[in-house]
This record gives sequence, C-alpha cells and structure tokens, in this order.
Amino acid sequence: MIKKVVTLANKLGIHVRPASLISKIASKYRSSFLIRKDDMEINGKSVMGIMMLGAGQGSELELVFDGIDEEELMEEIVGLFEDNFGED
Amino acid sequence: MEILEGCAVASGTVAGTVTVIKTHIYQVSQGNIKEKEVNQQIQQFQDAIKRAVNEIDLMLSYLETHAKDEREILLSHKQMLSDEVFIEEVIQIVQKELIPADQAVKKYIDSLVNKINDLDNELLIQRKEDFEDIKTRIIRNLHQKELQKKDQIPKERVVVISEIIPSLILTIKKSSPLALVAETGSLHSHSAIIAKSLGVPVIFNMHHATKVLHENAYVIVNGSKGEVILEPSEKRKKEYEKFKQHQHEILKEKIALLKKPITTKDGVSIELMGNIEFPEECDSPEIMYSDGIGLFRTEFIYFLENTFPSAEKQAEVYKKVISSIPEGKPIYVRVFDVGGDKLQREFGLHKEKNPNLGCRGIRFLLKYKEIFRQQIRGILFASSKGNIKIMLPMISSREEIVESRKIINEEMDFLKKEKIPYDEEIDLGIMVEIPSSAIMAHELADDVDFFSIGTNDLTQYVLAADRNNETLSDDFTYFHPAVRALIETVIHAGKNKHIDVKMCGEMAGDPLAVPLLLGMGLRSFSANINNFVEVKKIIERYTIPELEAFYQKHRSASQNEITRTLKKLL
Repeated sequence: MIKKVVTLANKLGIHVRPASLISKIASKYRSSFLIRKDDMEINGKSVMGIMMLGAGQGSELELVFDGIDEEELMEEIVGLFEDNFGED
Repeated sequence: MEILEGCAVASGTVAGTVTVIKTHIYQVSQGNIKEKEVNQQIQQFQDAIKRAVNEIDLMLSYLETHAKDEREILLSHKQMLSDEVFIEEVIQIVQKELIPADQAVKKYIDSLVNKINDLDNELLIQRKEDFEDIKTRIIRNLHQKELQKKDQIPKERVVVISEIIPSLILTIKKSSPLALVAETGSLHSHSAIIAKSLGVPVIFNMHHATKVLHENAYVIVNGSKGEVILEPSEKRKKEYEKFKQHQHEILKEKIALLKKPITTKDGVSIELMGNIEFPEECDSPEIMYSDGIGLFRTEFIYFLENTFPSAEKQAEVYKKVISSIPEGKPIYVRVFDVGGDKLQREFGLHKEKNPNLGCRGIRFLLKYKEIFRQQIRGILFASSKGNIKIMLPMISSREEIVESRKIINEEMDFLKKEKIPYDEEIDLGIMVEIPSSAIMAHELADDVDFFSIGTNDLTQYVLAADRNNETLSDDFTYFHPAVRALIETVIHAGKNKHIDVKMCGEMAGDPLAVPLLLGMGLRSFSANINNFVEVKKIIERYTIPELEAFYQKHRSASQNEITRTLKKLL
C-alpha cells in the first residue's frame, strides 16, 4: 500500500473534467485507489465519488493505492495532479 | 354505483371497461423483487443507462460548438452515467436488498445528495442538480422501457393512469382508448393539449382513480363534467343507451353542418381552421371540411422519440398532413415551441428558474440553430407538395424575424443547389403571443406575411399569471380588458398593413369569445376540433354590424362584466 498527500493547485479544483480523467486512468489498473479528504473517503475510480469530494483550490487530499500495480497507478495519478490536469 | 370527480379536459361521454396502468414515470416503485427477477432488473438498468447515454449523444450532436456550457454539462452527465463504480453499486443494491432497479438508483443517488446537504460545501451545491438530473433521466428511461413492454394495452378501453407525460399519451393512443383518466395532471399542461387531441373524453386530477377503478370495471365516463360513474345503476345505463342512439343522429347532422361554407348571418365569409398535433387527426370530419389547418403543433415530433429527428424524417410527417387534407388548403406549421414547461425534465440542459420567461420558442431555435435548420429544411422539402406556411413562436422583436428569415433563405439556397423543388414563395408569419410583439404589431407587419394570435401565452404574459398554477385559474382569462385591447391592436395593424390576422389560441374556439372577436374585426379562427360545431353555429347566428356595435358598447367592460354580457347575448 502506498499513501501520498497532494495539494490541489488548479483554480477550479476537481470539477467534472479532472474527475473523469482521474477515474478513467484509475480504472485501467487492478489496484484499488481511495481518495481521502477531511473525514470523507471515496473510491477514486468513480466520477461521482470524486465529484463528491467538493475539492477546491488548496484542498489537501490523501491518495491511497493498494494492489499489484500500485506503483504505476500512483505515478500516473500523481503526475496528473502535478500537471494540474492540464489546466491553469 | 359510485361517482368520482376530476378535472374535465376533453368532452364526450362513453361507456366501457377499465384498464389500469400503474407504472410511474418519475415516482419509483415500491416493495421488493424476487430472487429470480434480479437478473432481469439488472439488465433493464443497464439498458436504461445505455439509452440515457444515447439520448445525451444525440443532444450533443445537435448542440453547436458555441453552446459550450450546455455541452460541458451534458458531457459531464454522460461521464456520470458511465461511472462503473456507480453502476456496480446499484447492481449490488438490487442483488443484496432485492429491490427493483429504480429504487436502487434513487437510493444510491439520494444518499449522495444527502451527504452533500450535510457537507455545506459551495462547490457541491451545484453538483446536487447534476445528481438529480441523472437520477431522473435513468428512472424515466427505466420506466419508459417498461411502458413499451406495456405496449399491449388492451384495445378500446377506458385507460386509467397514475402519472402522465406526453410520450405516454402517444403510447396509449395506439390502443385506440375509449377515454383517458389520470390521477394527476394540470389542465393547461402540454399533456392536456396532447390528451385533447386523442379525440376521446379525458379527465385529469381524479384522485385515487387507479385504486378505486379496478381492472375490467364497467364505467361511464362523462368528459364534459369530469365525472366517472363506477358500476352504474340500470337507470344510468339506460340513459346512456338512449344518449348513444342520439349521438348517431347528431353525427349525421354535424357532417351536414360542417360541409356548409361558414358565413355570418349577413353573409360575410369567415375562415374556420383546425388546430392539430398529429397527422392522424386530419381524418376527422371537422378537418376534412374545414378551411385548413391553422395550427400544426410540431412538438410531438420531438416527444415521440425524445430527440429532434432529421429533416428527411420530419418531411415525411409534413407530407403526410398535406396528403391527408383536401388539395390546396393551407397548413400553418408552427416550428418547435420547446423549452419552458415542455422540456424542463427531458432535455437535460440548464434548468431555468423561470422557464416561461426563459429560452423557449424562437429563442431556443436561434440558439440551437441546427435544430431550427433541420426543421425548416423538412418543411421546405414538403412545400412543393402543398400549401404549407411557416409560423414562428414566441417572437418578441424584429431582429428575431430577420435572423429567422436569413436561415430560411440559406436553407432555400441549399435546396436550390441540390435541385430539390420547394415553394419559393412560402409564407412566413409569427405567433403574436408576447405583449411586446402585440404592441409593436404595426411595425412587425412589414416583415411578415401573417399574424396568428396565441391567446394562452399572451394572456399569461400580460397578466403575469402562470397558466400551470391551479390556484390562479380564475384570474387567468383572455376576457381581461388588457388582453382584449392588445388583440384589437393586432387586428388593426393587420388591416392597415394588409396582412392576414388569425387566431389559433384557445380563445378562438371558445363559443363565448367568438362574437366578441368578430365584433373586433377578426375573420379567421383556428380552433380545437372539439369546438367546431358550436363555433360554427355561433358565427351563423349574428350579423357583423350588430357584433361591432356590441363590441363598441362594451369595450371598457371588466372581464367579469364582459363574460356576463356575452352569456346573455348567447
């Protein structure tokens, strides 16, 4: 299991487009992927779940990867966050 | 014997046996399912998701690139519908709790919405609407599929139903119902308008109808009174038999009357046309012997499939109408008047706080030009076959006419290039139903070939009275002096500028209003066919000078005074 903490830098936070990007990538992997914010924990493979986070700019998220391909999954997801989902 | 009361929508009296349709559309079902029904429920759920996604894809193909916000919303809804985790969880709820798919969908999405309510996060408040939209879309698709399965509604029955939506009325229509009774529904809704066109007695708002009226019960439905008699006494049955015999004679008389040309007592000829919603309505004797179709509402084309069909498909509908009526008689096609109360739920676009003051009618069509173009092209395809005219709804300013004309011209150029024959002189007119266009009628007359006064919307907008608000029914009347004054303005503008003025709203078919309108100078009426005979009889009863004098005398009367005086006149 790998845990990673990220801070949202893009202006709009996680709206629908980033949410679907994240879930699409996560769904390619066999490992599980959870996102925690405050006391909420959601399945990172679900667009609806990610939207439920209501994560705006500056939010701190804990990403939890668990499974045989957790390393690759983590790298790709963290890459997305670092790239601000290709937004400003 | 038991007598139930509801709200009269369409008149007529009929006796027959009941068939109950309990399927709800937006309301989810109750209770549990059996183990062996689980797989079927899951399959239906997955199919509903597919259809919901298809609906969105079709909408996306119509939205032009500049409608960026709407596209974004629809795209996000599509993503949500394709959420594997969501689909898997709903399936698990069905399997574990043994509840039907609609309940499971509601349960899952409601739990998300409840969480949002608890969180008090501003970013999430907007999401709530998205979740609700998705929920409604899936549930509707689930139920519509079930209804198609219920396509085997027994023929020629008194159909009793709990909830009503336009597409469901179309399904019921196929079973040639004797009458339609619904537990819900508002008198002025789009459903009511479509239900009226069934040509059978219709009653809405009859509480507990699906519970009290059981399958195969024998009933007499009186559409004019809004009354259903369950298991009528022998006396009532005999009365009905007598009534039926009379009806046959009345029909013969009616046809004789309809065949006569319509003139006033002093020989002034008056145009009486019919309002229709479906091509099939052209078969009625009222339409066969009328002066044409003064209002062909086209929204059903959308409601039939929950999407806007291509120009070619639409052209078939228009051609069917042309071939169903006597050659050369005019058909006034009102282009899609969608938005507002009619599409709120089905469309999945922005929900408007005040849809009747929002993007509907021509505003919608000029925003989603591709939908407009397809319809204009469809009308033009059919225009070489008959006397078809284009009517624009919800016009509020000259610019909208100019912009519409430009699109029509471009479509004509397209047909010319393709060497497809069309009517180069096709008439273009507007519905006068927004106060601004009634006030400006004199100016607008220069840009169009005719006016058609739409009294339902005109009244609603002049009096700021929502026509779907049941508590306001009494205040919502076209007899109000302000509405009358605007109608007079429009009639005069048409006369001065030598263009035709017609009326196709409900007022044109109201026997009480006809003498008043003749006195104002109106010479062309388009009415619901149910009212034809009565309207014709009234036109024949008076001379124009006497009605003109009547009108002038009571010009400033209040709405209550004028209706009282008119009742005395009749």
